[in-house]
Amino acid sequence: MRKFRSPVLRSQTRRIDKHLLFVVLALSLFGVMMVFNASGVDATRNFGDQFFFAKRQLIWAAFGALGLLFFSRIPYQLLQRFALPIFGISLLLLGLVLLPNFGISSLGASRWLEIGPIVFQPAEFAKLALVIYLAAILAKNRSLVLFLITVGLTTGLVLVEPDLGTAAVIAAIGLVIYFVSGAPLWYFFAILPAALISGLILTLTSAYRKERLMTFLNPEIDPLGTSYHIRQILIALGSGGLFGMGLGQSRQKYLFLPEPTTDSIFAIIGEELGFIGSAAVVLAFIYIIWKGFTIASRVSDPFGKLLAVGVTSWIGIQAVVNLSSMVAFIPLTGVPLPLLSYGGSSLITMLAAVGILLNVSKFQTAKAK
Amino acid sequence: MTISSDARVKFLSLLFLVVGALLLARLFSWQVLRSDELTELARGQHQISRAIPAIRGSILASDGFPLAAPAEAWLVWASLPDIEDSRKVAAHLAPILAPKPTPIEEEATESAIPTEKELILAEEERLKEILTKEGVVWVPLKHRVTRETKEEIYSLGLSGIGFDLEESRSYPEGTMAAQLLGFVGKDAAGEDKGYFGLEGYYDLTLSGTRGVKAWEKDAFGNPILLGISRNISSANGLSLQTHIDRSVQWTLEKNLEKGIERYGAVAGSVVVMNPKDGGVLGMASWPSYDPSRFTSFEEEDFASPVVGDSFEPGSIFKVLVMAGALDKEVIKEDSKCDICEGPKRVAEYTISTWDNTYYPDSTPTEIIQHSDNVGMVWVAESLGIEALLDYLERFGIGKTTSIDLQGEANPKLRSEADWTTVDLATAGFGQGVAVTPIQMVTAVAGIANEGRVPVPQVVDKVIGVGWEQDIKPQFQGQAISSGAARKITEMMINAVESGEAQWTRLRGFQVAGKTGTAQIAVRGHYDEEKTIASFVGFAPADDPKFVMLVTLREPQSSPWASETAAPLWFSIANDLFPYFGIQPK
Repeated sequence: MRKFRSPVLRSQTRRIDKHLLFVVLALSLFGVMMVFNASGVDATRNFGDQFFFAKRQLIWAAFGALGLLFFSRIPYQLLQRFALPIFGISLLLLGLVLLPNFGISSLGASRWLEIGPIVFQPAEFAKLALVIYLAAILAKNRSLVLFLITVGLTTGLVLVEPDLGTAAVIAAIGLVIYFVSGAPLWYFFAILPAALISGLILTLTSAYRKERLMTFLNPEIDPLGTSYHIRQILIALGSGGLFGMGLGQSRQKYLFLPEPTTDSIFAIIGEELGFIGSAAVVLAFIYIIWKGFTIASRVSDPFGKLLAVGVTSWIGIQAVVNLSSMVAFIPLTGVPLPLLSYGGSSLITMLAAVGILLNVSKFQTAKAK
Repeated sequence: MTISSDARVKFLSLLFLVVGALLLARLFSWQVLRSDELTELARGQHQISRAIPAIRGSILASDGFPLAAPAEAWLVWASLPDIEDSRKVAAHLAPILAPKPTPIEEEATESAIPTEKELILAEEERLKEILTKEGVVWVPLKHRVTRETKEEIYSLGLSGIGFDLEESRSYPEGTMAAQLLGFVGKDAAGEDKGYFGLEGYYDLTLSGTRGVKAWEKDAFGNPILLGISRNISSANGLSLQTHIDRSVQWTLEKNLEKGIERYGAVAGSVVVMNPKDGGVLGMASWPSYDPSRFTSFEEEDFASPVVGDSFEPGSIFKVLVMAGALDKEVIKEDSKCDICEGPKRVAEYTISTWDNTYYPDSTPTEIIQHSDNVGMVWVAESLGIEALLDYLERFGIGKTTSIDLQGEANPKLRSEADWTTVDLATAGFGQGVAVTPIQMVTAVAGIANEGRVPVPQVVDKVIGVGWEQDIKPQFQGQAISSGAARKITEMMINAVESGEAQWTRLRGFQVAGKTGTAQIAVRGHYDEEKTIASFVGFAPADDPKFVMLVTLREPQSSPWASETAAPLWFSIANDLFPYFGIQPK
C-alpha cells in the first residue's frame, strides 16, 4: 500500500492544472480548424465533402477529451498496478500489425491495425504503454537490462513495420525517462552514440531514407522529385510572411503541398497565420513542456514523476522532431505534430496521456526547496 | 527521489527551451527574412497567365484605303488522344492544307516547281508525322488558314481537330508596294514582328501592347475558386496613313514592269516624291515579292532597292556638283570652260566625254546639256575638295536620309583627307561615289524645293482610336540658295529640251531633268557592257508637283539612259501629269 501512503499528502493541491488543460484543449480545437483548412481541397476532390477530415478529427478530439477526463479522474497510481498488462497488450498489438490478416499495408509499411470498425496505429498506443510501464519499473529499480529489453522490444517491433521515425521517438522517450530515473550518467555516453550509429545504419541501408537524408544535405537536387516536399513546405512558410495570408487562404493546400493535414500541417499554419501564428504554436508547445516538467519536479512520488516526465517528453520530442523537419533542421521523418496533425490514434492517445499528466499535477507539492 | 533527479528534469526543461528558441529563430528566418524570395517561388507555381493579343494596326494609302490590314485567321490544331485514325485524318486534311502552286514560282524555276499532287503528298507526309508524335497531346497543324479553309475542315467533322483564332495580315491591293510595306513574320520567341519597310520601321507602333490575363491555379493547373485573377487589357496597334497614292503607285508598278521588259533590264526602281514636304507618293521596284507569302521568296527581294541598294550615280550627279559651284559662285552662268577643248589628263588618267565630242569654251548650261565630263572636271576643280564635300553633305549625300523605312543603306563618302585630285575630277561626273536612289531623289527634291532639302517621309499620320497625329514635314536644311536652285533648274530644263534625251520629252510640259549612265564597277574596273541607266527630274519646273528618279540595271536594248531610263521616266510622267492636274502650256 506504499502507493497510497504518500508523504506529501498534506500539501497536495488536489486540483488539476487548469492552465495546462486550457492550452492543450485549445491546441486540439485549433488543430481541428486547421485540419479543416488544410484538407478542404483534398476532401472535396476525393470525398465530395469538404468537412470529411475535419468531422473525423472533431470526433476523435471528443473521444480524446473523454479519455483525458477519464485518466485525469482515476487515481494514476492504479496505472502502476496495470502497467505490465498494458505493456503486454501493446506488444501484442505491435505484433498483430505485422500479420497480414490484421495489418493494413500501405506504401510498403504496415502501421495500421483493423479490429472491427476501428482502425488505429498500435505504435501510438505503444508510446503510452511504454511511458506507463517504464515509469512503473524504473520507479522501483533502475535496471539497465530491464530498460533495454522494454525499449528494445517496443522500438524493434515498430522498426520492422517499418517506421524509423516513430521508433526513434519511442527510444528517445525511453531514454529521457531512464535519464530522469537517476541512471548513472556514464551509461548515456555509451547508449547515445550506440543509438545514433544504429539510426544512421538504418538510414543508410534503406533506399528511401537515404534519399531523404541526401535531399536534406543537398536540397537543390531534383526539385520536382525528392526535394519537392521540403521545398513546398518552405514555400508555404515563406509565403506566409509575418502575418500570414489569412485563415483559409493557403494556396499551397491546392495539392501543391504533400500531407497538408498530417505531417505538414504546420506548414499550412505558417502560411495562413504567418510567423505570428506559427511562433504562437511553438510557444504553446514550449509552455506545455515547461509546465509538464514543472509538474514532474514538484511531484515526489517516483512513479508520478516519471509518468509526468514520460508524457511531457513524448509531446516535446515529437513536437521538436516534427517542427525541426518543417524548418529543415533535420530530414523529413513522417512524425506527426502532437495534438494538431490529423489522425485519431495519435490525438486520442495523446489526449489520454495529457489526462494522466493532469492527474499527476494534482499531486504537486507546494514549492518547498 | 534524489535532488539529482530534479536537476535532470531542470536540465531537460532548459534543453527544450533552447531547442524551442532555435526553432523560433529558424522559423523567423524562413517566414520573415526569406519571405520575399519564397513568396516569389510560390507565385511562380500558383500563377498562370495568358497573353491577350493586341491587333496590329493597318497601313493605309493616302486616300485611307488599306494596303496592309489585320485579318481573321485560324490555327488548326490536333488533340492527339482524340484522333481516331491519323492516316485518314492526314489524307483528308492534306488536299486542303497543302500550299497551292504559285504562278510566280512557276516562272522562276519551271523544272524545280513541284506539281499540285506532289505538294499534297508532301503535306500528307508532314501531317502524318505530326499526328503520330509520341509524348505530346496538343500539336499545331497549320497556322493562319483562312476562315473558308477552317469551315471546310470543320465540315469534315473529324474528331480531335480544333481551331483557335489568330491574326494574320491581309493585303487588299495584293502585291502593291510590297517592298515599301515589308511583312510580318515571327521573331525568335515566335511572336509577330514586322520586318523591312514600314512593318519593320514602325513595328512598335503597329504592334501595340499585349494584355495579360493571370489567375491562380492548383497543382493540376485548374483555376482555384478563391484565387485572385488579374486582367490587363491589351492596347491595339496604331494605324499608319501614308503619303502613298494608290494611283501613282499603280502607275509606277505597271510602267516599271513594262519598262523592264521593253529595255531588257535585270532590275529597276522608280520613286516619286513631293519635293515640297518629302512625302513619298510612290515607290516601286522589280523584282519584288508577295508579302502574304514572303517565305517563298529570297531574302534579297525583301528590302526595297530604293533605300537598300547603292549605286554609282553617273551623270545625274552632275546637277548636284554644278548646283554647289553655282551657289558658291566659283562658276557663273556665263563662265567659260577653259579646258573643254579635248580630253583632260588628271594624274595618270585621261578623262574624255561620253561621245568623244568636245565643245571648247562651254558654258555651264552647255556642260549640263552635253553631259560633258571634261566640263564637270572643270566645275569640280573650281569648287575644290573641301567645298564639294560640303555641298554633297548639304544635299544629304554620305548620310542616311532618315526615311521611315527599315533597311536604309548608308554608303559613306571617303573622308576629306583621302580625296585625291582624281577623286575630285571623277566625282564631278558622278563616278567614284555611291548613293542610294532615295538619297539621289531627295537631293534633287532639294533643287526642286528652292534649295531646301526635305527629309523623305512615307507616313503622313499615325491614327489611334478616336485620335490621329500628323507627322510634320522635316527638312535637312538649305543646301543651296534659291537663286542657285533656279539657275540649275534652268540648266536641267535646257538639258531635257536640248540634250540627248530630247526626242522623248513631252511637248508642252516643262520638265527639269538629267540622264545618267553609270558603268558598273566589277572588281575595281568598269564593265563596258553593264550600266545603270537613270533619269532624275521634276515637273512642272516652275512649281514642282513631283520629283521622280528612274533607275534601270543593265538594260539590254541600249546602255544609254537617254534611250531607256529617260523614255520610261516620260511615259510615267505622261500618266502623272493629268493625275496631278498639270496642264500642257
